[in-house]
Amino acid sequence: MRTEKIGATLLVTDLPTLTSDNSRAFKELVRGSLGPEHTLVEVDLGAARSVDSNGLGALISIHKTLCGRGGRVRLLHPTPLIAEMFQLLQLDKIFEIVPRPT
Amino acid sequence: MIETPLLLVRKFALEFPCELTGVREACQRSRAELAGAGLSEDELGHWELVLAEAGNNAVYYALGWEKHRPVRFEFYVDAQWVEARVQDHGPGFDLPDEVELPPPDSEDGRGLFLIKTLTDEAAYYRGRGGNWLVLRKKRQTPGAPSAPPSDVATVVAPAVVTVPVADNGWTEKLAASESTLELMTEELASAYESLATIFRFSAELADQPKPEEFARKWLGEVSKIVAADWFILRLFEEGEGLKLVASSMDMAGLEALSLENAGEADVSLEMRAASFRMDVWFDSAHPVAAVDPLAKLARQGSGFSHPMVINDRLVGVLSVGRHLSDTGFQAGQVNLIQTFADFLGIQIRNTQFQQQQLQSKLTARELQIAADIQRSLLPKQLPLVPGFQLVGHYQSARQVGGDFYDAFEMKNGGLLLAIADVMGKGVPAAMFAAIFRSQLRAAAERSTSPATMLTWLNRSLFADLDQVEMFITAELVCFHPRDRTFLLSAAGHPPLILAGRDGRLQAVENSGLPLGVLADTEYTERTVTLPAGANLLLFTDGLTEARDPEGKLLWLGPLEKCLAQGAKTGQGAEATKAALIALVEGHQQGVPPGDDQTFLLLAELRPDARPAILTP
Repeated sequence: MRTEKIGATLLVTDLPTLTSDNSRAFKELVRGSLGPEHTLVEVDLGAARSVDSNGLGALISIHKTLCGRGGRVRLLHPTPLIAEMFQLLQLDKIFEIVPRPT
Repeated sequence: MIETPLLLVRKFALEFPCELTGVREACQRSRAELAGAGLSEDELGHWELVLAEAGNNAVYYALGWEKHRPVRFEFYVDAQWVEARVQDHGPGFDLPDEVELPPPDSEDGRGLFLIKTLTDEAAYYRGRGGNWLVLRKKRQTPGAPSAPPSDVATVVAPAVVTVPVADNGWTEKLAASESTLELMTEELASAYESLATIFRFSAELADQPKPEEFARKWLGEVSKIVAADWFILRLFEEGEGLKLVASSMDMAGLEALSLENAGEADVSLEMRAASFRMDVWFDSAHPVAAVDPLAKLARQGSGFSHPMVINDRLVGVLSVGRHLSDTGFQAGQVNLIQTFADFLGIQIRNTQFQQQQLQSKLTARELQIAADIQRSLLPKQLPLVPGFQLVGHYQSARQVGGDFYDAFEMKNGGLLLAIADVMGKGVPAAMFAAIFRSQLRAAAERSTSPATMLTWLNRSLFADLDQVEMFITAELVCFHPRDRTFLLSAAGHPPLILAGRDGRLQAVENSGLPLGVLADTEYTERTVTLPAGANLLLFTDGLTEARDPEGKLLWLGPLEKCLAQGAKTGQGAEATKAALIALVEGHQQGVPPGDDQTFLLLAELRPDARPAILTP
């Protein structure tokens, strides 16, 4: 799990999962890396095999932090199964989801 | 509830340490095992998510001392279905039929929704050895059994234990059915034990009107059933906090816990349970603070405090524990303690409610008695006075007070008019009004001077009034119709109002201290001559203090105006009485009087009017 700063964007990559065992570390990493200039957090889920409700809680927490400063969270390339879960939980309404390239 | 027995093609079990990293590994191992049974990628993804949610819950909600026990997954797979069972060692919960999604910005509360949505059947069983969440999902494409997984020996966590099934024989099918039945039996046995205990308690409660005594006795019985070493029951009382009412040993020194004192929640297990409305546990890993009132019992042991909350109202807190922390309560025992505590809470609330009902019935009966006394004091018939009309009025307040009036002929031929107001309400005030009435008649036998009568009445009643810190205001008028004069003496009472035919008003006052204030009070009197066409009004303050819906008082002005109008028109006492009542009721606009409203009205008739006997 690592972060990269590109202008106003904080990119999070190398997430093998976003689940109960690493969701706290994920949240702390993002919060610790966020600078005042960041208004967009992109979470690359391309490598993530699974996301559970704890992982979702962490993403929503980051989303709320960003909303507080007029920013947003974008989720990149989740697997179809993970994308389906976001849809099932109606979270596709609060996160911008960029589909996996076909 | 899952009812269909499975025709097994595969069975395995995993055990992992009660921590989140264990869940992750177990989910991956489960996925690999299920892949071996021919499940599709989508199915595997769904099962992995469902198991992660169920496993996380099992870890999060494990009771303190159960955290060292592994969490167990069991799987039963046939050609049509996959069944997964997740064992937890938490307090258990009621699985709802429908789970709603939390608000989008909520950071939790989605696990159960995912479990219910991604499976076809779900059931939850509480048991004494642990609880089981049993989940079933129909397979997308019926699968054929694959080669059984290899046996894995039991190893120390975080590795897993796998129990493969190598054949489709009846023995295994029967074993699966029996296993399901065992779970259901376990749940039923636990529920039966709770119910049987509660039925026995209920039967006993009928003969035990005091819930505190009932609680003391049966908490001892429950402690035996669940092998608890001690218990403490505190009940919540408004303004006093959590008061000790029953314990397994002498805890007489235990002080009440005040819910107002937020600091106590930091150190007291019971206060935390009461404040947060949730069970609070303790054991060697989470010991009670040395300053906790429970420390004497719970310092070395394990147990929990359970808040008794009925209809969102705190009834009390039950704390139960064992002296040794490594032998904590099992889930079924916890279930029984919680069920009994909640049942006890309902009984206590019901008893408190019944006591309140009884008290209000007693109060209503007392008021009825007071009202009966009050009515018996009023004269049945007022004396006939040539050339005058005499009427009386008494309107009791919702809470009966101590007003009364009287009028009778004295031995010198004069007419005594008396009005009095005993401080206070209910039976005591009515009783003093009755005593005053009989003493007044005795006083009139001794003297015809109102001042002498009041002086004597004060001496006579002082000791009794002083003892109960009550007093009486009174006004006595000795009227001599022949010479049109009257003598007036009063004890702390409002002045009487005198109106003449010319409409002129006069407030006539000659007041001393109320009766019952000073033993040696000497009252004085004054003589007043009636003007032509006079209307004379003696009243209690309930009349001037009548309130409108906004709480505004009537005061004296409107009464005086009404009386002056009656005197000017010479309409007689009956018509003026009706006008006064209409005035007061019009002011109140339906608001019930806060105090008794009483008056006596003497009105001179016009020369052409005939005298009549009038009743109050």
